[in-house]
Amino acid sequence: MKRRYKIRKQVDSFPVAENSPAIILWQDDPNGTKVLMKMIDESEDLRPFIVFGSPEFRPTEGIDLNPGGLKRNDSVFLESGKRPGNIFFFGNKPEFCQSEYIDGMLNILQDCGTISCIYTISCIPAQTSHRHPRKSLFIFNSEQCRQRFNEKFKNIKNKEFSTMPGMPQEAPSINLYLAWKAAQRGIDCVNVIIESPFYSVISEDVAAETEAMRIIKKLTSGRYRKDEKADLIAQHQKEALDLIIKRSEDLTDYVEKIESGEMLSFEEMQLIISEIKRIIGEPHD
Amino acid sequence: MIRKSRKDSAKSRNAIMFAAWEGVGKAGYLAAEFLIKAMDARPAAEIDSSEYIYPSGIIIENNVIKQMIFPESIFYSAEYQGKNFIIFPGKFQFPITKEMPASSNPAYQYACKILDAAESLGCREIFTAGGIFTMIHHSMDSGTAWGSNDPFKMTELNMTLSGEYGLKDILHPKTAFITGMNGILPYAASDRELTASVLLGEVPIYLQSLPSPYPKASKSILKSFAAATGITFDYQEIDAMIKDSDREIETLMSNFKSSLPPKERRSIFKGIELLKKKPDFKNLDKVFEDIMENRDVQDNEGLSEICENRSPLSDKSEELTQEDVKQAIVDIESFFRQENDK
Repeated sequence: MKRRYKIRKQVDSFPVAENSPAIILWQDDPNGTKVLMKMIDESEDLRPFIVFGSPEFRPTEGIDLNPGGLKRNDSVFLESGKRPGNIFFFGNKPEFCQSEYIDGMLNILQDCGTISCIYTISCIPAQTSHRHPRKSLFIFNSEQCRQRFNEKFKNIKNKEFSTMPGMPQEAPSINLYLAWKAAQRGIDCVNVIIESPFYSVISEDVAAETEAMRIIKKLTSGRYRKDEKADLIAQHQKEALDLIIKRSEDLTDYVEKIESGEMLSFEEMQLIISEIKRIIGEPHD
Repeated sequence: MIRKSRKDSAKSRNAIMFAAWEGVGKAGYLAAEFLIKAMDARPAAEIDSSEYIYPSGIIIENNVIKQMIFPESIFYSAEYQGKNFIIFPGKFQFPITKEMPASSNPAYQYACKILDAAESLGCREIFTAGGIFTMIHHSMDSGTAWGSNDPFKMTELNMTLSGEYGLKDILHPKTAFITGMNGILPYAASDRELTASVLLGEVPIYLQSLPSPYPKASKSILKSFAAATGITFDYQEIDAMIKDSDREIETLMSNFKSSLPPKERRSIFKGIELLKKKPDFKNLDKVFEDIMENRDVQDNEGLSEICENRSPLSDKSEELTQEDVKQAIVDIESFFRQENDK
């Protein structure tokens, strides 16, 4: 196996993974994972061990590795301080050389020891109501992986999709590409995709991130402790959206349509987004 | 890995390769498709590109990944009018920037793999083809810009193509950067002393967001390729495509025209009409660069001269400024982009 990945910074002690899970998150996912990464950092006591990447993958502006809190603009591998061996990866998606980049990621994971399964976590904008619980979709990189997952996590609800995401004419996400490449090496990989109301993508959907956190905790054998602060923010977001939607009859109709399972047209979706943007203004970081 | 078809396992001698990728106006790719049909070319070899190229599709069944689809990299071969040809319609374009190092990036490695396959098929010379945005009006025939990694070949092309198809030597230091595989393949070919030339068909700068191909540029590439290799084609099929394309562009332009207030309409369309004069390319370099980099047009003596002296709109009250021309191009481009998004 070629070892062509670029390690920009590495600590002396490497984690020892013994049938441990690895969680993959992308810092630049459209829906944002900032809240989620903060939640993980706080609960797992993360310890970075490799800063990974190179200008060949993506122009970098520098590295800020701050163990006291997550403030990074490069890709980084971290080990859980609470559950040693459990690995987290907070990446910036490569713009070039994706194949080489993923090979590099997998090389590092394999160098850590035995990885039970790689879980990628992401949110997708979907036609779902902000008043409904966030649903999850799981994509497996092999039939065996699916069986093993279903045996291990009987309680995790899974929403079945027949066609989405991934069509023959559509380039797959980097998570799906990673899952496929992991399968070539015999490593299980599950893409966990959490649905978020498409009209809440204009701000962080904390409810989706809380759901992601709950799933991550189950996958990494950690006990999920209710995050009251996050729940409160999610509740506030829901109430704010309720208020905005009530102000417009059109918006109320559209959301009711979604709740009754009807599919909105692209124009109707755009209308909701622009109306909400108009009322609350553009989001700020 | 190179997989050769059984039928064509005996390699052709002294074959000329025509390689093109989707890109500006789909000009090169369309030309490659034309050649495959016109020469009745057959698949001769295929390379595995999964190491270098991002997948173009995926098949998922019942939430399980079944297959990853990669763009094909197939070489077609033909004997046409007593000469051997290899055609490579590339289905994936690398996002290469000036900042990327050449030898360590996968585009270069992919180019080397293409060259390995081409040489094993008996290739002795290469042409790559694509489109180039210039200040041309869509009612005019496109010309071709060319370049080569071999100075002798460059002289030959200058002599063959300058008269009828001539634009300029694109390997002039100021404009030497050819993006994507059209540039990197001749670069990689230089490393193995293989002659490679580039043919770029003109596409009007304001059609950057045209949703469909621009066959006029493809025809100019084909005419240049035919002249450079001493062959002939029947262009009937591509002429029919040009007619359809002209109609489509005229419809879009007319939709755009009717969406504008009369005063603005006059100014924008006069700006575009000016391009029909095919002003000296050199004089427009600065304006062109400004538009491509989305900067405000700086004062430019060449364009002022064209605007004031060579424009048919010499009436002082209707005199065009540099800003008019730039604004016209930017506005049309933006309208086409919106149409494209729909």
